[in-house]
Amino acid sequence: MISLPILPILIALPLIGLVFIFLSSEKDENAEQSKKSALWTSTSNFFLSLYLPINFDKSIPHFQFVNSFSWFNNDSLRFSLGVDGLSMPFIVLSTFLILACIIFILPQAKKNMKMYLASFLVLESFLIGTFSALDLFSFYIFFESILIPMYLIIGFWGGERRIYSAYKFFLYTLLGSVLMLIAIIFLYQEFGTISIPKLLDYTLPFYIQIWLWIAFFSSFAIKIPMWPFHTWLPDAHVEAPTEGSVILAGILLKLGGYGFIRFNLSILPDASIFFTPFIFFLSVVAIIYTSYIALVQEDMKKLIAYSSVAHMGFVTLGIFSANIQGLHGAIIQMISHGIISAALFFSIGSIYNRYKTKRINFFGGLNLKLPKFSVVFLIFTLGSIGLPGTSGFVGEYLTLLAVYSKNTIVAFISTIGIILSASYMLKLYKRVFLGGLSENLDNKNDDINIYELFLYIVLVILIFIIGIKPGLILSYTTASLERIIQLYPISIF
Amino acid sequence: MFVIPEIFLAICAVIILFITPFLKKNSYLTISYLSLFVVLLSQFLILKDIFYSEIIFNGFFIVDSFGSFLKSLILIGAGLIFYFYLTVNNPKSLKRPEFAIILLISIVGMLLMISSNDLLSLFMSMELQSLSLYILVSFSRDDFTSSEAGVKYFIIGSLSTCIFLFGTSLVYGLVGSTSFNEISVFMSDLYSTPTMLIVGLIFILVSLSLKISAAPFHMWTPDVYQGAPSIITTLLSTLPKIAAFGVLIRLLVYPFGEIIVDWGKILIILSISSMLIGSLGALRQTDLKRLMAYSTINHIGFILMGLIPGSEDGITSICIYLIFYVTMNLGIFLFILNMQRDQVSVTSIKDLSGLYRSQPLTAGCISIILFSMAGIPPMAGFIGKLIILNIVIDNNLFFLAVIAVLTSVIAAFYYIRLIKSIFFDDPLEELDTIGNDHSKYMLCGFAFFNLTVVFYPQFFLNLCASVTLSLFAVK
Repeated sequence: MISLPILPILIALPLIGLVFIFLSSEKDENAEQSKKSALWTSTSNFFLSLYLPINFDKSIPHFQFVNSFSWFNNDSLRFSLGVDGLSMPFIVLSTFLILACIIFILPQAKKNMKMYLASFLVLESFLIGTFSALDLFSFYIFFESILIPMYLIIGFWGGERRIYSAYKFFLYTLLGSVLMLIAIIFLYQEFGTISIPKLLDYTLPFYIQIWLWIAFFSSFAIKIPMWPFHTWLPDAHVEAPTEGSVILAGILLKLGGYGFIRFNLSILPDASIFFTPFIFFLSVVAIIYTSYIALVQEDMKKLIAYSSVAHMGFVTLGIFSANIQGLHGAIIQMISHGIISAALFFSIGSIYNRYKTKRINFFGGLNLKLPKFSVVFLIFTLGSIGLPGTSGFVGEYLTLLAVYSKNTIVAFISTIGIILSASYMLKLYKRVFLGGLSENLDNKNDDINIYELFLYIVLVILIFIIGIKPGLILSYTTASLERIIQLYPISIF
Repeated sequence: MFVIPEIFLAICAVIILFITPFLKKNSYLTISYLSLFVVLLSQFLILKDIFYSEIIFNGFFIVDSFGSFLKSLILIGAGLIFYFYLTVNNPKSLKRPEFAIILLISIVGMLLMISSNDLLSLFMSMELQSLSLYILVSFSRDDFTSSEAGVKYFIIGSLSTCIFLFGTSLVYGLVGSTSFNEISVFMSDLYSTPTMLIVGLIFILVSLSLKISAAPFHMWTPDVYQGAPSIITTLLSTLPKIAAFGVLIRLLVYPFGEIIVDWGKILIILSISSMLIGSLGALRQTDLKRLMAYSTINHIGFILMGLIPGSEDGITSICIYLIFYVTMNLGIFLFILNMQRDQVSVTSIKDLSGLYRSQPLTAGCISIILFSMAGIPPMAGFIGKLIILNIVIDNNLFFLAVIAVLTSVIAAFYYIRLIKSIFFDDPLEELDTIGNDHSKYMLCGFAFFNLTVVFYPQFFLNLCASVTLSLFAVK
């Protein structure tokens, strides 16, 4: 069988769609033509990305669909793309969420619609590039390039304090990643290669691993974000437009988790063991502290943003437990958070589009006005809490199982986080949807439109499918994750 | 005869000078076109012999491919600046035929600087370059700021000359010759380096630092950049820097290569202070040209890092960075030249606000170039920084690499601030749209170049590696 160069196609296709968007000469806020091109591009990209799971060989732990191109002048520095079980689900998640965003944009009108759509397509291309890059330089280039469209999305179409938030987002992330750049260059000098598959075979002395680990950590801890480095996230989430928040929470945060598994855990295992207590400490603090902060939020988006930090705490716990349940839990938690938080941000976007506010106080008894919507929102809420049957449960359960085998106390404390998440999410639902009808909501009565309904139904189905049969995803990731675990030294914790 | 390009350019400049009185009034356009043509011709003459290498005039000058490469870079820059001058809407005071002629003479000076192989010829060519630049900076005679900038530049420049001469005399006193070859022979025979030689080298380095405006010798830069007519600022920020770097590299690598331990430390201090001042100083600037001055200082600090190891790879990386630096700066200044409101030039950052609303294409191009300057991938500026950082880390200078990336984050802040004004701020009063298509296309060209370098970096690596080879072949 002739193998299709699928990854370069996935990266290039959104850029081709970009050309079509800029070719259309419409200036109005609707820009029907551009919306159509964006929709077609992202749809075809999504279905093309399904080529990956269909033709993926689950038994091989190594990289598949590898394409390599000449780039810098020597053989050691080539531009290569490929996926393994770890990165493949994220690529499908990216194409899916971008498509969802474009569908959500369809009925809206925004200033400069063309550029808005274009930013999302550029973002899609960069995201796929980041997840499929097989050498560290191209990984870094894609990883950093994401800042440009995201900065524009937050800064141009965001809320009132958008400029401050865009700055904060940009500089925080840049600060973290430049240190990673130094580590990458150091690896290149040390081994003469920065190809990720080759780096897995080398081992570094412990004292060097420590420094490299800190450099990589500084980048991914800000991106994921972990507790003391999370302050950019609530600002960026609150001020970003709905679709921006969706991408931010749905995929960009996962870059941090992906990076932790791919680099800190796989390439620098000794340092990872050394820092595991540190990570556990930060994660537990994140889970408890941000949950309490989420309890007192008055802004719906801010509440979800803080809950994201708490959920990402589970991800880091799972990753650094460094056993197969932990990594499985982390992956499922990331995918499920990608879907649920995206769904929640979409829902808040739907509310915001109707009432132009995200303040919780403003609402009350919304289920009388939007009956269908309140049902789907309830499902998303329960998914976020981690009710058995939804995808959130699988991730948190597996993670806690893994942590329990490492450290009982950490597992015990982080379980409190689940109770807290139930309290803040249910409180949100109660205050917004239940109770008597708030007097602010009197004369508007339009339930969700067909685009939103379609989107929410798909998301609900996905939440249940992953919740009931997580093996669908895990069967792809098992081989690659087991390889990482095999290479990992036995830890003393 | 391998100094034909310089001789040709000098003779042409003199001939054009003699032609001028016989032309009608307002002959500046004819003269400029003629100069542009002359520049292109000498570019051709240089490219013809780019791989030739010889020492000529009894060791006074050297022709090699490293020099030819920098010279052709200078001539390309000069051609573009002539082109800018011809196409943009210049203030009336600049519309004089002398402008082009003096510019030509200063270019002759720069080309000679690069090929000097003797401290004396270096001094002469540096003076030729500087004196013409003093005149150009104060070219708008009626403009107070321009004259002020001219005087400042002249005073600092003469100081730099004095310091250079003093350093040269110290070196001459010890070595007994000013030729680079003789100095090199003297150095290789030495047991231990005499202190006075190092003192002499420090004086020469200080003088050259004044020329490339490396901190702490940068004080003149913001004032002169702001005061000089924009087209001259374009020139100042690009071409003399290339020439001065050519001299610096040749001087440090060839005759003084033996005492790399001594000058390496000085360069580390220079580069750290330049990066710090270049990034911190720009934070509170409100004038675009002043901001570009600090941006230049920051870039200079970055480029200096590549010279610290004194190795072939390091100089290759400097050459690559210089190419990108010139394209970025020319792009930004092309926009500044076109920044006008009601036919009057404005240069405040505030005037940028809301540019996206009125001129989306220009705004997009400028943002690409600004992102490139900030070193955000995938732009050209990132590739340049990557290659320089690679050299720095290769030589185990980790603290320097960390300082470099942290200052580049600070620098990113003010570039991003410009992009913020362009895209997010509400417009105050709209700027005039860029009327001439030439500038628009050129701007798109610069942006396109900065955007696409990431696809073919090996071209620049191979090119620059092959030209730096000649520098080390002389040894």
